[in-house]
Amino acid sequence: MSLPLEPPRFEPPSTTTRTFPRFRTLVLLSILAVVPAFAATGVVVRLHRDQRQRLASDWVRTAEEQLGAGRPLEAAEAYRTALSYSRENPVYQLRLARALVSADRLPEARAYLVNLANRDPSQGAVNLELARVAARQDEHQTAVQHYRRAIDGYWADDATGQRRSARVELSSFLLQHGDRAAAVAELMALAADLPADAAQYTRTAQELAAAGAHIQALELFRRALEIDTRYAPAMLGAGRSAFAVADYPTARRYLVRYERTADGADEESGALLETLEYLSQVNAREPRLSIAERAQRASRAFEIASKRFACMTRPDEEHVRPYGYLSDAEAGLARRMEATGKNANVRYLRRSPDDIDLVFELALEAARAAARRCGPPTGADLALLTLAQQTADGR
Amino acid sequence: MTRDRSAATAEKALPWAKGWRPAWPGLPSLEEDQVFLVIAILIGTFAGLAVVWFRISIEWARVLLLGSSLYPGWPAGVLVPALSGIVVAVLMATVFPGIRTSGVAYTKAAVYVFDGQIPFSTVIGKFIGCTISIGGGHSLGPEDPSLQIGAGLASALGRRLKLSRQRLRLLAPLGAAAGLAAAFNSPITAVLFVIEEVLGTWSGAVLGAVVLSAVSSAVVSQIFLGHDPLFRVPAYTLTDPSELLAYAALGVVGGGVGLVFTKTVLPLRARLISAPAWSRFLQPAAAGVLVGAIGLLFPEVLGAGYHAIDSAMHDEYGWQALAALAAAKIVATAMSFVSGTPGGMFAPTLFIGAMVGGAVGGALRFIAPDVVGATGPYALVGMGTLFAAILRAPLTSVFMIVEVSGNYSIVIPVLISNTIAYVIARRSSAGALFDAVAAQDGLVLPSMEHQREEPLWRVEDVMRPRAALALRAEQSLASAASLAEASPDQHVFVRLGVGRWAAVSRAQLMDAHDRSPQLPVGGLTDLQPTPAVYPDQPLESALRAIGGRPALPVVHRADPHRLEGVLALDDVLRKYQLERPAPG
Repeated sequence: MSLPLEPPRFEPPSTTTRTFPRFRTLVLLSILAVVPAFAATGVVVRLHRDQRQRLASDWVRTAEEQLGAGRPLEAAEAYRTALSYSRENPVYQLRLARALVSADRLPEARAYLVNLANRDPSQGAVNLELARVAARQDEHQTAVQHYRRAIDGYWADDATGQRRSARVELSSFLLQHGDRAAAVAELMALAADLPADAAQYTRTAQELAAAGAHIQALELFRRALEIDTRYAPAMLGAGRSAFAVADYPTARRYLVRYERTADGADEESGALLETLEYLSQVNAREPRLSIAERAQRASRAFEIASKRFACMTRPDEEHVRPYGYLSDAEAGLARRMEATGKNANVRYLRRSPDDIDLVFELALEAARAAARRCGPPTGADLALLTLAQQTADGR
Repeated sequence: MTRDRSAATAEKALPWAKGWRPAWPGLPSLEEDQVFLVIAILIGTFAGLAVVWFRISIEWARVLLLGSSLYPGWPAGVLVPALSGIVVAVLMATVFPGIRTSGVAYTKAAVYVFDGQIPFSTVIGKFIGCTISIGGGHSLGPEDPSLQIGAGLASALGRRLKLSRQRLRLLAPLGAAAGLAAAFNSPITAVLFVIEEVLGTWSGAVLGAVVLSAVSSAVVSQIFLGHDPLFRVPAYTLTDPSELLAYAALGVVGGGVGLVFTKTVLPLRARLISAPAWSRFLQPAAAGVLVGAIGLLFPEVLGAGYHAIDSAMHDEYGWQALAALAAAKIVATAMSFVSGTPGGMFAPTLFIGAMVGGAVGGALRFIAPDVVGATGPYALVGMGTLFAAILRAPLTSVFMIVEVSGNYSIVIPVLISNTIAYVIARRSSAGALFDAVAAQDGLVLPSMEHQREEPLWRVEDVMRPRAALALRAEQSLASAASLAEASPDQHVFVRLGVGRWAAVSRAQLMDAHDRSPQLPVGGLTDLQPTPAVYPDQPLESALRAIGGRPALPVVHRADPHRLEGVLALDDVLRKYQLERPAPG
């Protein structure tokens, strides 16, 4: 059997002196041969690169089609193939990472993103994706860290817009995790840097309102309306925020404006206006009211609250003893309601203005208790409950 | 004066290098070593260019034969490896018989057996054969063939230049380092591998040429193919010091897997080599079918598999998938390699290592999530681990990972894991894979591993402590003779000056004393200057110094006047006779 390593047959290596011209010529020729060899290799390498680039582009197109068709896993495979032809392409890597995120392959996506971030830690887009992955993996601190890096990072296109939307996303994330103060701080920082665009002011104000910062939200809605006086979403938002901070006249003004601008009430603004209407009928604490008006409102509030409270005090077969099914506090409240009922009329209250607040307070307390027992209120009950809640918040 | 210096320089230069007289008077002429360095750069340049072409041709072949997708399915995934196997088998049987074996083994054979000669047809054959086989999906890598292509080009250039046998023998390793440096895009790894596995020596002259050749080749490769390393390496941080235990576990597993691989490949290869000659046409084709079948389930195993290594380092597979891929690659590579399909073992070794490393890391993370971090670094370290276990190049395996990752902080896990794997592999199997492959091909090549581990005898192992008389040169023969009479020592040494010693026999000393007792010892005409040796000096080098003398003085390194003992030729010979290594 012939072995693969048979001795090669050559002339024996020279043991004599090399002649000078031959040696020098060969080495010089070798050096000269380098030039055409480099040139030829350059051409081949260029062709090779072009081919790789073409293949990479083709596979990216395929990946995007797959993504469009809702097949993120197939898209990720196509991106991977594209990356095999354009390995260090950060755009493809980022897209692959996004596809992997869409396919819920978070560890893989993260590995790609970490690699990208290591190469250039200042990349805003990469940090934003990392923040999203961390957020989905419930890594609160890491997510916030990456969101902040995304906000401070480099963005190739529309840097300001991208940073803003990253900040909005961060504040939403903070809000979801109950960090209301940090979320509001982010939104306020965002508001300080907004361009003269009513929509953007409005969006930020809506975020603030969602974070419960209604006073700041109202301010931003107002600025939005200064920029565009007919921007309906800002009017609705301003109405809502004013309502939330118990500035009912302002709320009414904005909501009415909204209805006019938006050509008719929608369900939400209609409900708010209705509540406002009821509020104007039952709010005995509104400033600059005469005693007669306050007495009338308190009496009306008590009447509404009593009707609503009746759902709690109606005895049933099981509970023959009056108020036996109520808690002690509720039973006490029911007794006080019963005792106060005969004096909760306008005539008595006009004569005894000191009792107006007492009656009104009792009405609010009953509204709160009924809301717990008798389900969500509507109309006048809702208005009364709103007042009750504001009183509780004020305390 | 200048003329005298030029003449002296010309005398120092070897005849073939005298041609490098300056074209312009006044410029110094190049000496042999300098010309050798120029040749080293030339070899590196051409090897680099050849490897660039080789890598491009493999990729084009892959796209052409298997399509541009990373995951070729049925039927191309099975038929193409089989057909490429048939084509390669025909080429091996008809035109290029020398391409069947490993490039490392062939290059070593060129250095130690064939006077540095590698036929140029082998270079062409490796280029074409490996392009078809690796491009066609066989589970082999391009680094080993690149090494051989570089060595072959160097040998061809050396033959053209009609270099001496000694120089020609050195050219093949230069070319090998150049080829490997361009293939890996990592010159340090290439230099170390050639030194560690092919040359086995750190001689300064050779090292310089090897480094120049590897660096120029890597530069050429980087000019055309870019600076990017073979893999995108993940960031590495040690989560916890106890994580080093996990890397030790990886070393144990890696050593075991390396053994399994070697013990699968070698017996199977021996069996296939002894199969009838006609079956050689079928072996690569059959291997192609099997590899293709495996590729239907695990397309990552087709070809070199760099992309899968990259994916493993980026946590893209679960640990179970990584373990499955490692097993699949072991089978596929074993099939491709034992069938004689041309291609290298470097890339498959790295692939298996990355998968084993990732699997171990993933499994340990599952068990101890607080201790074990990402699996990417485990895949990276695993590559070095399997490199140490299968290819038995421990130093290269460490530096390769450091060079590829560009991260020196990973060196501790790599050292731990590689050392354990190497020790396991070393204890459990006789030799390195390439040496065993060469032995199967009928060539017993020197094992660098054995050479490294051969016990080194030193002068202190043989010398007789203080068993000699040490006299001063100014001492009178009368006092010297009285000392000699009282001493049982046969050897008499005389201190001539700082670090200078002479020897005289006891009989000569007594004769001289009888003639003129007042003479100083230094005035003796029989006094023979003798070199001194040191206790820690290797016995081999002391033996060179001893020449025809019966004994040498052994002196203290910090005080060359102090006689530590005597190294007698008889004692040295007795040591070699008594403790000669067992035959074989």
